[in-house]
Amino acid sequence: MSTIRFEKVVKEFAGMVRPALNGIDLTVDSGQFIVLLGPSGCGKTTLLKMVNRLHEPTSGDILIDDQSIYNGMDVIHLRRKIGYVIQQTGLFPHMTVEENISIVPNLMKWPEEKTKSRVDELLDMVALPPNEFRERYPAQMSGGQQQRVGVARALAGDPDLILMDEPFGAIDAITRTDLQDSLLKLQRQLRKTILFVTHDVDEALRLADKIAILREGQLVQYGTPLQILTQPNDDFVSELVGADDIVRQLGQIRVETIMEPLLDGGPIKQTIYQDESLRVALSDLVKSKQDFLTVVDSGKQPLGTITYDNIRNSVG
Amino acid sequence: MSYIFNNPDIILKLLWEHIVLAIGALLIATVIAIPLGYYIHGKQKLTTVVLGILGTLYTIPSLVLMILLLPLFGLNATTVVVALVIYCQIILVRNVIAGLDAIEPGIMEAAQGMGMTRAQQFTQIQLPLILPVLIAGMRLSVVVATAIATVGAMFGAGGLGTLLFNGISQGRFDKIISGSLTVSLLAIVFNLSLQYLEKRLGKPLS
Repeated sequence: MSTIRFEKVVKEFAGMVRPALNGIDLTVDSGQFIVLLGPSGCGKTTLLKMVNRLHEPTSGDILIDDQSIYNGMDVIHLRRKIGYVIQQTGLFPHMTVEENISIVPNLMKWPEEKTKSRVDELLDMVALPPNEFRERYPAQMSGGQQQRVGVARALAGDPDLILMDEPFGAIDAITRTDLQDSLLKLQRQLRKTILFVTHDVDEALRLADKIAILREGQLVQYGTPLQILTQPNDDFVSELVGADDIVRQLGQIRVETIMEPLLDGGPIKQTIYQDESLRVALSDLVKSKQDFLTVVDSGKQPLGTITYDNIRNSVG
Repeated sequence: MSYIFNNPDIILKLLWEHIVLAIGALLIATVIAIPLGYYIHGKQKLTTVVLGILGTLYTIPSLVLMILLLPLFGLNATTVVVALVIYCQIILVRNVIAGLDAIEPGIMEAAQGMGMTRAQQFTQIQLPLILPVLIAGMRLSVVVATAIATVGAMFGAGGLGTLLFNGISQGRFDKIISGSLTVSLLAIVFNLSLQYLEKRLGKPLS
């Protein structure tokens, strides 16, 4: 369990005209995947790095589980309880994959056996076979594999809260989609509270439970991807997310976010995976000549249904 | 050459003294240079001042530096070792700083963000990462120290310089040649072994 509350957070950097963050109020519920989105210089990374106190606010407060992270909380202790993934992976080049992942468990003085099995468990989780990857050095892996290790390392100490600072920013488009899929799956199992910074709108729409849009140090809108696409607060948000392009919207919204939950068994027709986009759903509906599709999870278990009406009502 | 084979005991004794001088100076210099470089790293002005001073000291001819140190440490090996330590500083401190500068900022940010203390960041991340560069500095330092330690014989520090100075005063070319050869060989051995170490340590990084 980890809720985060930002209260009137202001950050001024010396020599800058306007504050990097100007009175941010934001509440993040436990287990939610929150994306901080905005153009460069909007303050999203600064906000993220305040949670593990790499930056200190000029004024305001940040509370984790209703406890201020500034009053009497040891900063080293705080950081060890928060997973952290950064863009250039920040993997330690002189350490093997196993050593990299063991960092936080070792800092927390876990027994050796527990750490070892945790490393294997995590490597399995991020789809890197332990026997093949445990002993590798970062330089012996592709960018995508490195970032999988980065994610595994952040999860190592089993933190409730994970901060991700443009983790897939430097990775090619195809691998990025792969990593996003894996992260979604992982999050479905683990239900961590995730703060994820990106300037990539598609990535935000794909991953987020809720998106916080920042502009010039201010929070412009905070809502689900659907809300942001269909009810943008102003022209800035509308333009940023391309809200007037319906086809694009359909391509970004996941089926599970608008499906109708399955009440009883009912007949199972053609199925669609919960992470597919509405665009795929629409296409499948047309092709299959059915009235609805059955939404399933990765284990092919039915979760709900989706119809033409659901899709029509969801878009602006 | 025949002098070396006819007097192995003398050669070995002087060689050993020479090794102790050079390696001793190297180790002391390294122990000073690491914290010094770590401390001034990232402090622009201080770095310029410190490197300026060390660079200036490096340009003082060895004979002169040792004579200047004589009143402080006396006519013995200490004077020579202090002089060698001073010469090694510029090389080592510069390499420590270059090594620390070369570490990607993201790596240090990750270390900090994961909750490593400053000391843990240094021992677990920075020190291992600068090691190849540091050893490159140590390699150059020990070669410089080996050469300059030859002068130490004039200050009662012993070493292979003894053969050279004796040879000159006695007009014994065999001694001069044997001394020079042995010193050169020693420098080459130091150089090669540290080069090997440097390469091995740098391997996983690339």
